[in-house]
Amino acid sequence: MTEDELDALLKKPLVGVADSGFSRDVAARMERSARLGAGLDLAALLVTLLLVVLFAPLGRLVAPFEALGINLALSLPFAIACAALALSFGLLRWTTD
Amino acid sequence: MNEGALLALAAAGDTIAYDALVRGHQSRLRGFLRRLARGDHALADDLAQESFLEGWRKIAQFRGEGAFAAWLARIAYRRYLMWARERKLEPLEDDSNACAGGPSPDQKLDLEMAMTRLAAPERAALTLCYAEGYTHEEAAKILELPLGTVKSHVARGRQKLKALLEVAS
Repeated sequence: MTEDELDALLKKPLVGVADSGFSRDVAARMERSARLGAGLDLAALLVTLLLVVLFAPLGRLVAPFEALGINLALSLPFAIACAALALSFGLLRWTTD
Repeated sequence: MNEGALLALAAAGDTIAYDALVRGHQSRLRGFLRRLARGDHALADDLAQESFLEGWRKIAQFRGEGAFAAWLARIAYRRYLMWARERKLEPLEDDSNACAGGPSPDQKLDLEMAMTRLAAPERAALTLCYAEGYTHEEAAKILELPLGTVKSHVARGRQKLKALLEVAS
């Protein structure tokens, strides 16, 4: 066999391979992989939430907001400000209509 | 739609675009892996599926330097080497005996049989540089080997093939 003959033999393109469902199988595996990834993400989120609920000092975190809510509800200036907002919104609607 | 547009869509998470890329490249990649896997079609197809999945996961990392086919071939070759190492197969094994299956009347079949006698990097380098038409530089990038090593794999592979094919005929 000469070098040219060997070259010609080697340069023959590889035999084409028919798809025969191959790309469909790849797509199915991609979908499974995506579902598994989403499932793992959800599981990680749930575990994190569970740990937060179990170990975070929720009472201490919420207490300042509770106090703030009560103070705002009892505040006269805040009530006046809310009323002013509601009135100006109503007036605006009435003038545009 | 051209390949650049499909790649951009796939990088943005479009599975339909990636599916089109798979359909366009499956024949070439499976053919390359079949030769690497010494004609084991089932193994080659498994590795091709894993390569395409890895390609999908890493598509955002594809910077467009070189062809997408070459990028896929690099993933596939790495997968083949991993598979061979996991099973403690020596990918650099060198069996210089003549074809055990005996000569065939079909020269192309002789080539495939002779190819199975070469070490994996020689098979890969010869296939990429001849059948796939890559330059030595491109083959070196795909195989992640120095250029000189690829050239010596090609030269040594050619010598061995010539000897094997002469024995077979």
